[in-house]
Amino acid sequence: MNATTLVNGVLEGGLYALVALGLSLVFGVLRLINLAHGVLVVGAAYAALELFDLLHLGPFVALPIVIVVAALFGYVLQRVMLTNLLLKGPESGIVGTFALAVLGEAAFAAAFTSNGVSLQSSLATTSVKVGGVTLELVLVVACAIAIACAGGLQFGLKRTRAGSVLRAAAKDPSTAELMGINVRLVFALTVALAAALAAVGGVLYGVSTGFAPTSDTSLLLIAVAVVVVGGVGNVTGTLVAGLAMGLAQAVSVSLFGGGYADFTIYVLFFVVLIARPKGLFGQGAF
Amino acid sequence: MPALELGDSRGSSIAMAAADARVEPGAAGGSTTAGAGSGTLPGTLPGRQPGTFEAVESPSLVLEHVTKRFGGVVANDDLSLRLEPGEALGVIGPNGAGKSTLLRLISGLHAPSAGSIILGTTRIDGLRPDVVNRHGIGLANQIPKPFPALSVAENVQVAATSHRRNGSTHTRVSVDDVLEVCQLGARAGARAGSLGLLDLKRLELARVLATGATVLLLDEVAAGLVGDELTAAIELVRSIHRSGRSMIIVEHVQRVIQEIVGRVVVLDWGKLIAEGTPAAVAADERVRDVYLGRRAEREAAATSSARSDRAEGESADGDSDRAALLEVEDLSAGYGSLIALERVDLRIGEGEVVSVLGANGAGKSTLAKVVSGHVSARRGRLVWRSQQVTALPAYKRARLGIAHSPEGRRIFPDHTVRENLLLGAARSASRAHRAERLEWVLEVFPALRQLCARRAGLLSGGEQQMLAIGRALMAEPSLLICDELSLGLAPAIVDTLYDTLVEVRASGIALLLIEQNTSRSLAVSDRAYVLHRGRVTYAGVPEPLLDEAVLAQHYFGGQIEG
Repeated sequence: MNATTLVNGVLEGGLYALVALGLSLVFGVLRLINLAHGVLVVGAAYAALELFDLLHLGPFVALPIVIVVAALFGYVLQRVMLTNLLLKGPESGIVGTFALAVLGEAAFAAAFTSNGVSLQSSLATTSVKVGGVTLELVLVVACAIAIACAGGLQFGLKRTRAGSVLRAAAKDPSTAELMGINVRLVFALTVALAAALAAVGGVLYGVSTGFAPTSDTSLLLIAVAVVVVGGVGNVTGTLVAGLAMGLAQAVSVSLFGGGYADFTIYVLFFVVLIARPKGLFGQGAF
Repeated sequence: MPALELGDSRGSSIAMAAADARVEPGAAGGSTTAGAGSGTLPGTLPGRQPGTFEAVESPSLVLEHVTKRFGGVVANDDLSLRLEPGEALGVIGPNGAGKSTLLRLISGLHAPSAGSIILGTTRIDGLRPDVVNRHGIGLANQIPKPFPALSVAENVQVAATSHRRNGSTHTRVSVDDVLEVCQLGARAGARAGSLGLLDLKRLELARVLATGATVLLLDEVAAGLVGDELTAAIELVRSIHRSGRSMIIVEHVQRVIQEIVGRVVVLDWGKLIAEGTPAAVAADERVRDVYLGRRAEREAAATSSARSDRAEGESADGDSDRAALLEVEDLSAGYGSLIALERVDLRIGEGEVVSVLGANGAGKSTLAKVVSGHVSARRGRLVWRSQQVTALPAYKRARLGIAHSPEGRRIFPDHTVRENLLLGAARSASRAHRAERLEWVLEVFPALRQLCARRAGLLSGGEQQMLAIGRALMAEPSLLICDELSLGLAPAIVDTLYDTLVEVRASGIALLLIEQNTSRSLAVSDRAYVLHRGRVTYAGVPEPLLDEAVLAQHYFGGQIEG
């Protein structure tokens, strides 16, 4: 077990945190476990791939476009589908997003074959040496973006009027309406924001790791584990849990080999679930 | 329109599990013809006819110094009472008096913090609810929740089955008998989810009876019933009582108390404050104080400034010449099969103060919710400054100038006081404008100023109420609805709040005060309405209501029943 493995593990954990943030947001605000979250992540990666094929845009140039498209998709998804499902009760939302996940996987396989691909970027093949440690540059960038996103989200939720409105709508939607807050709009914008975060995660994942139509499942499961370990709605907790998961994964890979990577995460997940059901850092802002 | 209600996962899975639990659907309808009294009330039949109840002996139930605390709140305070075998005892009291808690303590849903509960010779406090039930105590809930996918007979069978499986020895009752007595024979095969309210209430009683209970705890089983349905429910409870079963009846519907029980106890703030026959209790000054406010306050109110302020330009019936701010016309509303409001007319003028009074369950809060948009009207219309708003969603009504300080305050506990207040500000308000408005609200409620940075959930009840009103005022509304402003607050704090309302009114904001404690709100009101069981029983100037006999007549439904 060397320092390089461990540090890169932590950096990769930043990516997990990024993917988990959007899931946590929807879970905390709408009380919905969005089973299609992994599909949003993978979909964003495919979107970036298409933009490269069609317009020869590099992943980081394509990223802003992908973010906008994902946010629009999230907004429409909430308005058209999720609102009506959630009015029928939480089970409907879970079934609905599960259906969407299955559909998305099948659509990706049909359109892009089931082979794994990755987004080409010079970043992916560059590494930097800091001290005695070799860092993969793409993971450094991903981790920095994850920290920036978590920081921005935390600031936005806690310090801005929009964040205050969002937390109020999450906590007590019917009272929020009495304040003149259009709760359905707030919810739709929340899903849009979550989809945008998923898009950032997806493009970075596509560059660093590569993906296939079925990648959404393991991404979703890791994200769920990170959200639960960090505490639902707890932005800082999610970030820390993501980094910790990355580290734990790196440790287990170097001890037991690559086959145990996901297993380690699920074991951690279950241990935390049993010992501290509200997550290591407690429930958070919304 | 309600916001996304994400709740209600009411156990369909449980219903499925129960469906698997060896129910015999055929056991139902068999005896529908056997009951000589199908169509008539079984209880009126003499002796032990088929379909009527076997007489039973119920044990005595004794509560000794029972206290229940929830955190710092004392829900039941050193209560001692005795239910004789076969007795029907009524428990009344205002909202929050601890009535439901009392029933939950007896039925084992809560364990008392102190004191003992003895059934016959057995101490039952602290036992699990299912064990208490096996000892013969059954709780019927205000809102029946049968398994909706099962038939009526199956629902009763489930209650009887779980009881038998436990090998208990006390009174066995056949499902058919129970169905017959509860007049459900004809509906035995119907899905419970398809029942109307009266049949749902019957089923709730049937389920309790099927467990073999001989001591029944009835928590507002008549709530929501009117007219003939209420009469039918009362008859049913009476017939159950005649079979020797004892019962404790928590009820707001006066007829139920008057026509069934021999003895009433009155709770207030968790304490037993009066006891006697229904008539004696109704005449008890302390009881009137509890429901209507202190006599001294009422007399003070009679001479207060409200009327002199109002004198100019108003006709004798209290209809002001002011332009109409809100007109409620022929409004009906309800929940499921429950009718909460029936053909209500109400008018609020610009800057006017209107009180809506009435007992628990009269429909006051529903009226407030229909006006602010959280409950939709089933008929009738709402006109706001000559604009139809009946179908407008709640958030748009808020933006028009309807502010609602809801029952239970509903502050955002994890937000700071300042954040709560700012959330109330109009969406369109500029930052500077919001700051200005915040300053005004903090002047109205100086106590909130030093609490600004504190998490709202840490505030005391009175402070939270100030915050809820302050938050509503942030939007610069034209109408402020205050629902149960004084509920659960000490009199001194209520005084402060009402002083503030006078200030609010002076700034031109119309007020709709929904109150159970009437004297304070009448003192500041231009006009008043009394609701009883969803209907308006009085509309006009407040003065006549300051006469307690008149108020009690409207309040307790003197006009409408019978």
